[in-house]
Amino acid sequence: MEKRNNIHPPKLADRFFEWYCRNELQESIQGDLHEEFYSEVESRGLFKARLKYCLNVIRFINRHTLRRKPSETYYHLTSISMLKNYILVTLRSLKKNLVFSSINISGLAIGLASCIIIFFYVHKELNFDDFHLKQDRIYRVTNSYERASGTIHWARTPPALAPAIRTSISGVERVTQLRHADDHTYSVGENIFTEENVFYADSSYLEIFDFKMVSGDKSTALDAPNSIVITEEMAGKYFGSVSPLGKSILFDNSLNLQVTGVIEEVPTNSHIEFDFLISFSTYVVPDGYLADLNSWNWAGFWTYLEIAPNAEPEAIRNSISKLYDRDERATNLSINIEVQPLKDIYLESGKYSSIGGSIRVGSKPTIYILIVISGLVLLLAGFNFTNLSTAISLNRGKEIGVRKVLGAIRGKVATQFIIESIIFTLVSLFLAVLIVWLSRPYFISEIGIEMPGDFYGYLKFFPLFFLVTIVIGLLAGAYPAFILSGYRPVQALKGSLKTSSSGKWLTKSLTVFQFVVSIGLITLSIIIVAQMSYIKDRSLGFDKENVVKVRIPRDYMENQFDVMKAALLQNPRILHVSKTSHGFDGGSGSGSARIIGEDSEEGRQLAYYQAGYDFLKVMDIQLLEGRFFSEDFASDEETALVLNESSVKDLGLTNPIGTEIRFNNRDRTVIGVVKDFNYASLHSEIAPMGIVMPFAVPDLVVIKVAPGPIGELITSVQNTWNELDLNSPFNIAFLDDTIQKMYEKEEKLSRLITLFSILTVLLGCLGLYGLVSFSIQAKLKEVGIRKTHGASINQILYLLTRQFLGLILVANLISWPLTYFFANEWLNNFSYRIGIEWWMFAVSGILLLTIAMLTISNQAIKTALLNPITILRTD
Amino acid sequence: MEYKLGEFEEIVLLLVAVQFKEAYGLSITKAIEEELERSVTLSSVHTALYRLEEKGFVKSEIGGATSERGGRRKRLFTITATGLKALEASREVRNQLWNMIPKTAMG
Repeated sequence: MEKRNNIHPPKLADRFFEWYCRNELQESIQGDLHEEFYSEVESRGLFKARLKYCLNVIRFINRHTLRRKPSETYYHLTSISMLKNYILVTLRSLKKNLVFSSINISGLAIGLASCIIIFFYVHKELNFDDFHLKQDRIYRVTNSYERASGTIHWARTPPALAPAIRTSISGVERVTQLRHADDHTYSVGENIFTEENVFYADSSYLEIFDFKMVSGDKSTALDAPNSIVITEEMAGKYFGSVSPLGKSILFDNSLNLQVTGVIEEVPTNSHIEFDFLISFSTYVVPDGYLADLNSWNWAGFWTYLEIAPNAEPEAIRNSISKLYDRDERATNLSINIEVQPLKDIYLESGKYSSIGGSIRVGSKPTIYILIVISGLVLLLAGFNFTNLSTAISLNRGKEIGVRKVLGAIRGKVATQFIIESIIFTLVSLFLAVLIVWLSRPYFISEIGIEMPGDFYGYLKFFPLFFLVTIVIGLLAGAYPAFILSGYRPVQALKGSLKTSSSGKWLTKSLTVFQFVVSIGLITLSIIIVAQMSYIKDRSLGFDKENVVKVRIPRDYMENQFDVMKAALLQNPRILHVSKTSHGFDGGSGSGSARIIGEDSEEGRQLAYYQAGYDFLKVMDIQLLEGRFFSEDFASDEETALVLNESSVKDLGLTNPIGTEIRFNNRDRTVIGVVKDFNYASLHSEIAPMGIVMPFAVPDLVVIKVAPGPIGELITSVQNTWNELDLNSPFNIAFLDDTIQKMYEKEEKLSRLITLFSILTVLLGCLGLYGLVSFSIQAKLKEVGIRKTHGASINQILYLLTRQFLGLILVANLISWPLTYFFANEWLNNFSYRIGIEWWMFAVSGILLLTIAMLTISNQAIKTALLNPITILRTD
Repeated sequence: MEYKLGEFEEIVLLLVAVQFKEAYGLSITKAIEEELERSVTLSSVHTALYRLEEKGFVKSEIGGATSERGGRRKRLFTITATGLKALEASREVRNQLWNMIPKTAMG
């Protein structure tokens, strides 16, 4: 026997033979071959015997020995009649389990619909600014300052930068700069409106970016001073049906602007949002700024580049950096220049401290969260579908048995289930598109998701949806197909099918996964809602309640503000009145600041507000040190500077009061320090900022009112307004509305996530329902036998529910760390964030447990109450 | 009825009849090599056997494992009634032809 172990036929040849030879002949032929081999070894030696063995294996390949393709013996998958049969059987089983099947199909449809909706949202966010033909060659120049407190990113650059790039940097084909025009009034005849989305721009702007001109010449429209390009919507608003070209619009009741072009509506996926473009040559630096367009330290302009097709952005960045390094511009030594590709501008706007008005900002983390959520919802819906389909199919033992007895091999039975699953998913897709279509108005108005309103918009993505659906159908159908086709005919014909332990393991893990996701999403939505209300209610640093903003014309503000203030204060409900350049809606001025007497030539950008007396009283901003502007000090108008805490830290001042600072080309003295307040978004860190008395005329009046009926108050203010006879639209806003608007996006996001968490819980319960029926069916006999032996209903209920309690517990344990991680990542995007607390997890855990128990007990009680005879008699 | 038998098939069929109830692929191969002193491969004998089975001249059953075969069972072939008739028919044809040879030719 020892010898045997070493002398054996070549294994590779053996394996090859086993691979090709039919099972029926394999044993006898291989036996003959081996027998011959061993006798050959004795007569002719090992080597020759092996050689002969190999040759024989090859010689044996012929029509008698080769394996036949299984399907050849039966029927083809592509056979139309078989396909017809599959569809017929699908419809029959749909009819037989109508309620269960429709729950199943609609569950998947809801899942698919939410994915389609999120898809549209994400698709738009990821394709911002993609309508510009030269999008790959457009860059924005931005800068950042390294500070002890961190890096401060600034999206705007000085006015001298664009001309310098134009004249001295090669590889740049076009340069343009934009200046936001703040709020002004525009009028045609009697029609007078205040417009916010207005920029100063030159013709290069229209040439670099592709906004469609309806009339006017792109290349010259913004060349001449006092030219204005308006959108079609504005043309309708100001001129009605009359062609606006060549007509004029009166700017601030003082300057006539001639309409030189009309452009189509700015697409909603443009990061710049404007209604008017005024030619850059019209722009005059307001009196009091003490800066001009040759400044290198007034970072208040957006600079965009169109680079040559073969130019290297990195090389251009280097040359731009060198522009700053020249001696005469040395005020900004520690500035880092960045050239930001157009496609990043929207999504990566989170890091900039001061973006400026009329710029749309996106949020990458939000997109990631949504992609993760939609992926989870899709997975969840798919798992549900699998669980429910399997549960439904458990009653189809007889069908499977008959099919098998009539000669269906395993693959054919599996095909039936897979085709069924694909048919179901396609029906779901159809329903999903219907749901999306019907819920469109809601998502557009409440959540701000734009969805195509025409057929083509959907058709364009249809192949993608179709493909995803088919894949889900295949995957979801594969499990029941695999399990159910494996039963032996006798077993199957007996009727009820029992689940194998391996099958249970899989369904169990699918269910645990569903719970993990459900718990995670509930917790996440709790955290998001908590964070949003935290942002809205606390830590603004000022009181947003009971503050009214009124916009008045600048010429009136300059001469008549005191008259107005006195008139307003007549009303006992009006407590304080002040004026300000910016209204807490994200915008601010910015200028360079340097401590006088310090060697450091380093320039810092300081955001600033220009505000009048009583500003702190109106806004309820806390004064930490020193004093605020006062009429008792005549010099305040020219030289006083109030800093916030951050700028004190940034400038490194230990004893700030009395420090002399050259700010915006004026020497000023710090008279007070205020607590940090949020003048921009709570997403960003509060940037260093200062408050000065207005050096340019502001246009906002802020009024603190006593709490009480709003309507009455508005009427009172409007009466004062009418008495003053201002030639300007009455424009009143509540500060809390403004703040609300700033966090609209988050608000909508939290609504969306809440919606989806409700959805996933629903889906999770559907899946649970399926699983419960699945496993109760398998335990039916056990229940019957236990009852005949005298088990009480409570004992039966315990038997049926305990395993699910375990599953939910496991799901909680898995879900907590994952949710903690995701929530923490998201919260880190906010400078002011809540902590994650244990009760958030507890609430979601208990909530899910309750819902799950309701789902389970419905089935369990029904089963426990069954008469044991009806169960046991079936065998 | 016509019984078509190739020369090689006839030999194999004869040997199946000779090795009554003991005939299988290798035994027939060995017999051909020893009795007829003619070299033949295992696979061609097998092929002939399968062909004969298709024609209904032999039938096969599984049985008789030995240790040389690693415990694998043999496919044992036995001749059927049809097979016997085919052999007889073939012999008759030969006999007829034998009888037709003129005496003179035999010397």
